[in-house]
Amino acid sequence: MSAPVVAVGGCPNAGKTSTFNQLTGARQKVGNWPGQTVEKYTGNFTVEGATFEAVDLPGTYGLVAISEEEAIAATFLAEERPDVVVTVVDSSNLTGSLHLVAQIAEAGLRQVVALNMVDVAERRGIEINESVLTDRLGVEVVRTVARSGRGIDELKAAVVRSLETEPQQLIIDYGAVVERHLGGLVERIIDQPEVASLQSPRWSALQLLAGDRGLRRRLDGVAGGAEIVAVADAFRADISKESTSDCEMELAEHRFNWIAGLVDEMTGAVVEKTTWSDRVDRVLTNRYFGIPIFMAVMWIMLRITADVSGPFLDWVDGTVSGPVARWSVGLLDLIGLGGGWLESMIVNGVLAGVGGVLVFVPVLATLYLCLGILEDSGYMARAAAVMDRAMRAVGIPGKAFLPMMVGFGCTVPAIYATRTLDSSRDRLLTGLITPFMSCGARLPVYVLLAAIFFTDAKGTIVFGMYLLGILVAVLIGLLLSRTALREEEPTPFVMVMPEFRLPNARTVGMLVWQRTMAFVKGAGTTILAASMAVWLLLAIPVGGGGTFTDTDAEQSAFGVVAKGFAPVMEPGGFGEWEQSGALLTGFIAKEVVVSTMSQLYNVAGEEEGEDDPGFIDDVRDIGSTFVEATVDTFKAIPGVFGLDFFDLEVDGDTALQAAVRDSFEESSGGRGALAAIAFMVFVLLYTPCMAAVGAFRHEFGTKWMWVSVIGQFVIAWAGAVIVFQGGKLLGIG
Amino acid sequence: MLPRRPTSDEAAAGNRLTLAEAERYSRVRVTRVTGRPRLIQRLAALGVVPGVMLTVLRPHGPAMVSMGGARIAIGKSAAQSVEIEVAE
Repeated sequence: MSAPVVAVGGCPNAGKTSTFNQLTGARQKVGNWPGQTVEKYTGNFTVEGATFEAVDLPGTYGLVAISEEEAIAATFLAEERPDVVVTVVDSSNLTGSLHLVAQIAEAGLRQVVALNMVDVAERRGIEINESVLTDRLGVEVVRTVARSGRGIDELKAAVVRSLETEPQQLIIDYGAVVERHLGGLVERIIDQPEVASLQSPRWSALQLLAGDRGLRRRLDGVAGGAEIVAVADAFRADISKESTSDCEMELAEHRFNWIAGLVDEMTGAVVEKTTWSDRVDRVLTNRYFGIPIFMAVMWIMLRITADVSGPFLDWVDGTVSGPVARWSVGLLDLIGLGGGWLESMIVNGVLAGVGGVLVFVPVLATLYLCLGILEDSGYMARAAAVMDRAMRAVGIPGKAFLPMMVGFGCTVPAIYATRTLDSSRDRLLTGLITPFMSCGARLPVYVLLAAIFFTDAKGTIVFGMYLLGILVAVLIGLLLSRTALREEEPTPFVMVMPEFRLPNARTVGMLVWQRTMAFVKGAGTTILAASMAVWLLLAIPVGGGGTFTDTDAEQSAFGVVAKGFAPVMEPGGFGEWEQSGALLTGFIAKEVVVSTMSQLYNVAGEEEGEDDPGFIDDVRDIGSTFVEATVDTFKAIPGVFGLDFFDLEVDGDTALQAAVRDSFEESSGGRGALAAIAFMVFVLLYTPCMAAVGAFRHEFGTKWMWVSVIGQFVIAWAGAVIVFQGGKLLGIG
Repeated sequence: MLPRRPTSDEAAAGNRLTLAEAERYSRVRVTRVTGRPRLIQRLAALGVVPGVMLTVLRPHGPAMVSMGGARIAIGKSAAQSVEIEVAE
């Protein structure tokens, strides 16, 4: 017999995920919900020798779903019918939380209620008599504080006990008008055995009257289903006509009326007091200070991401391309396979690819740490509230600010962050414009070119690129929301503001770990494959000279492709094959653009590690450079709050600088600086990297992936050409 | 049966106050919620339904209300579709 399934559900911010983490411990499995890209976390726990499988449901306020994530919870409960639902309730907000509890009880599911955050309720002087809930709903109620683990053992015991009981179905009186139609609909459902067998007919009728899309879709495939849906639609119209409110509102009104009575019995009259959280809110969401505060918070976050992760990024890079590469070569030599194409593939293909994945890890982990803290403290909800109006003005939903801000760090998690948006239209729109936000990997290209051509105005040029990215994102957003993605009904902004609190280390830590691993697994293979492909192209000799893996870049298949691509770029002022070659690898990852340049200009320079340090030295080096990276990180922290916008340090690679300068002067007919700007604009606007494309396809499908890739290329090309040709006409450069 | 609409008196008096026009820190009761389906569903799920009592922490930019123990932010267009009456 398979283990009983325990679904952990609850409203967002009720402590659902903390409860799930406490139940299952750290051993969790990540999968995807069927047909969905939203991660599904499952884990096991054992009580008195019996094993249970726990499933973490996405947070939802009710079983009539609005956002994609909410629909998952509703569908899972309806179709999988778990053995027990643990509904996590925010004890300091009973009215809001009990809506879900009531609906689960109406659906006739077996339920255990976790009165979570009882400490907060206690602090506020709210006394809860939970036996009322047990009496009215026939459910076990356990008081918990999931963050500290209080009550978790009792919760597990209650889950075991609940399996012995028959689930009870809650019947709420919806008033004469609704009840008359409900009764009629239930009768028709009972006449259709296939429909009636799905779930409790009364619950089906309620869901249909509330306009639940999930059940309607499900009924499409059931005999007699279409008929029931048609009757339900007619009844909905009737109820709306006969009542003061729309049908959904009428149902909700009666349900909340019932809940209000329940809460009254549970707590008595509670005097609403403004809390310190409200006072903080007055400042953070203030009409005048709100946006500047948000900007400052984001700026500090991005600086922390860049400065803190930078030293570790170098450390990962140095370790993979240094000691690890040497060990691999040594190992191959040892088994007699050294020196050949295999060695080349492992060092230049596999290890370069693995390095390409791993260098992202410090950046992402730091970014996710900052975001996790902002989310768990409750600030993110405020930021959405503050930004909604400003962003709505240009047709972008307020919640899109989060993916767009994350996009400054890295486009890949930014694309995944679109999941928090309510509608698929909003998600797609945000996914399409997010890549224009200049990610961290594009920075080295700006820095290199700005240092060569604009020694006195490096910072301004780089800052200008970031602004241009925002401008293009806004313009494209405006254009899309007026044309292809015009919406009939703008998503209303209605959002619960969680109370401010100290972020919980465990919650934030789990978040960082899960999200970072999701990237390593999800995007890692794409990057690795792309890295192998470039290696292969560079290894194949075409122009006659050289053999496999031992050929000049210009004579390789890669060189041929780059030369074929170069004329396309000529109107932008950068039609040299080395330049287009660097841009080609930039499709794979922006961080390799600069390294490709040095490879193609053949200025790779001093080979490191010629003296070949021994294994012990290597290990010691890895350790000591890690310590150095940590020290550098802490040294960087004061700078985060300083005012130097970008501490633009350029590696002292003067050979590369000279080669790049010559090449740009050559390709642009003496207007090197102008061509450099056009090149930067192109780098800013075209496909960020393969991983982002992979993430985009994962989220929005192949068709939209091509729209995105081709659209970005056209915009980038047009932008570069406008800059170069326009500049030439104006006589700049 | 005729649909029950707001009486002509109410409409004529133009006293259909909405949340967006409420006064800061006033206690109000929701009387009616109108609007497009998605807005209705969202407000219904959170419990912003006729009969419920709210404390208006801020009427606009966006509106912020306290309901039970919850704080809910409501954008301008949504706040304009929540009709209220001042309690007390």
